[in-house]
Amino acid sequence: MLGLAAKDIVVRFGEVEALKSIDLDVPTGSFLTLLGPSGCGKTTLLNVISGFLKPTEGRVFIDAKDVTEMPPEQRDTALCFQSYALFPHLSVEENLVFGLRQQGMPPSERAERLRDVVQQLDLGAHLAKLPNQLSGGQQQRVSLGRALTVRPSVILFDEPLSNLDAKLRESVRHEIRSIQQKFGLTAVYVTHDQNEALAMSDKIFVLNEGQLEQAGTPEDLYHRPRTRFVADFVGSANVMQARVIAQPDASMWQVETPLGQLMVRSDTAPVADTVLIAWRAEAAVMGMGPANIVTTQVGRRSFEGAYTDLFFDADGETFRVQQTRTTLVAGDEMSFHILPDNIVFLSDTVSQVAS
Amino acid sequence: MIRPSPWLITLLLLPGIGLIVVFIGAVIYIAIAQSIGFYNLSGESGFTLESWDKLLARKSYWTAVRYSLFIGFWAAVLSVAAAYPIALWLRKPFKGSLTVSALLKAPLMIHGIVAAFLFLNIISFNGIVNQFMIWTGLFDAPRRLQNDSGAWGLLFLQVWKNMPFALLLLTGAVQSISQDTLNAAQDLGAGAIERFRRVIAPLTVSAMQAALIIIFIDALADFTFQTTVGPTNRQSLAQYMDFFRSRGRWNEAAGVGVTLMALSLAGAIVLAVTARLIFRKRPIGRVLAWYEIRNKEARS
Repeated sequence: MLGLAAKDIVVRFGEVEALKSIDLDVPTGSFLTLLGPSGCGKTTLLNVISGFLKPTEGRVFIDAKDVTEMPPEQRDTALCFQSYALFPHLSVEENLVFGLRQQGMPPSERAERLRDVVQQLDLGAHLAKLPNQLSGGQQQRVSLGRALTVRPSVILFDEPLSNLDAKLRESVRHEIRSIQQKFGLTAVYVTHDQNEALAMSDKIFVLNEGQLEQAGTPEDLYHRPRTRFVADFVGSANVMQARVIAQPDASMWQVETPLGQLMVRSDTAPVADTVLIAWRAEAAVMGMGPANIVTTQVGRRSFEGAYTDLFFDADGETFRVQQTRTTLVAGDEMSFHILPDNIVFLSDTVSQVAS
Repeated sequence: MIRPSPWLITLLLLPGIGLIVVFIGAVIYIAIAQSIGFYNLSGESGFTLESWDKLLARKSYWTAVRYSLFIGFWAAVLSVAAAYPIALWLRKPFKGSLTVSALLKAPLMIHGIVAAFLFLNIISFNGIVNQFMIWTGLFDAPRRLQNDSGAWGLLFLQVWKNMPFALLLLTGAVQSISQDTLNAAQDLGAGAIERFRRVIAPLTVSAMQAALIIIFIDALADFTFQTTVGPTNRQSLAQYMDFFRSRGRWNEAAGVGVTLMALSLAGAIVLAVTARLIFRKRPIGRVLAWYEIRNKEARS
């Protein structure tokens, strides 16, 4: 069953079309992430779902009920804001039960609901404090708790971790995911951070300039990007132009590229004779292999901790390979191979990308 | 951090607070001393409560007290009530909002007596209001609207004159509330009234208190509007004081003056405390109740 659905959502601000016919299906209890750069329309879409923005066209359904005309206060959603948006004049306890009081819940039930959330988020020591007496991470937990106490059909997150430091961000994102799974909540999460999206989501919608670029599981998006934008935005892949020169078998294609002739295994045919192909930096396996062997010189080395980026130039373009441990330095010769399964055809034509 | 000595702090504050204490203190001392007979302007000075006895025994005194409190209270409450929706409307800038805001503040630049006579012209026997009411058919003939006994005209004038002042104070306060905070309240189920009651009013209560206090004190001591458009069957405290002064009865005038000051102070405190209690009540009781439940559970 669908917890949330949005059909043909169009949002126009005067001449500007912020969302261009977006369709969204979120099964009950799943975690969907809207991923994209600033200004791509992800927060606009979240505002349409929460009711703060009425779409120019299209309908929104929560638990199969059309809520398009319903104001935010009547929708069964709860939003976690980027700024936390805690009520500065209310204690943590009052913040947490704000929604329950609005629902007119009896005090005994309210106390029970509060106790559950306080235990879950470990907020017991902070109940009497005001928001300005809390750290960023604690405020984030209160914001999450405030949304959880009302047990909404759909919980919405608007870049909730962007104000936290890297270490805290990682722990809070695991916390959010485990709470979502524990309560079986339908969640929509907005972020521009691909790591967050990949780590947390059941499904990711990649938005670009108000349009849906690709939707799929994190693995799909990462390993089988369909457009140059997705390949580049999710994981920063190596993208290059390729000319199809032969098709040795039904799913194998031979292409001419700046790295020489490569074999690509794909279930779908390339969209034109000259297309774009993408491969991940970590797909490069050092040493000789059965196919797609590239021998080149390391141009630049960048140690990133868990891995090392090795950059090299070919045909005027810069490419990147990633190795967990390597002694190679700038100027060294290196040979690597890429398995044909790890190279994908992109659906944009070369002229589209150029324009 | 090095904490400065209390003597240094006192010395630094002295030019500001010292002057206030000296001037206000002198005024209060003279007013109180005069109200009990000292520094008598029209006779021999002496310690006496006789003038107070006489004053408090007068029915007209209590009528003036009740009437001035009525005008002060309603002028303050209605002005603030009228200013809030406008402040919320002007919270987010829109095309022409600056012009609207400036026009709304225009009454601040018009002197009270000018405004009173302007209003008198509008509601006069052959004024615009009467003509309009006859045109609508609600009045058969012109009616006397000036100096109405219910003081509606006076209250209208008070609100017209004081609302921009409340607006000035509230606009800044309302603008300081983030949109996310209001959206969060709405998202959690709060409609417009609940958002006002539980978020906007508590977060702007200091500005609300300031507006209530200043307008209350101003309207309580009103003389200009009362003598021009106020009811003729009742006197405000300021009018009452002037009544004694014009007859050379300085002790009674001083008594009314002290009453005015005492009521200003007491009324301002009551309004400020009430506003805070209504809108910014701390949930001490609920917090304690929660801890009690938690401790019981921990024990069991």
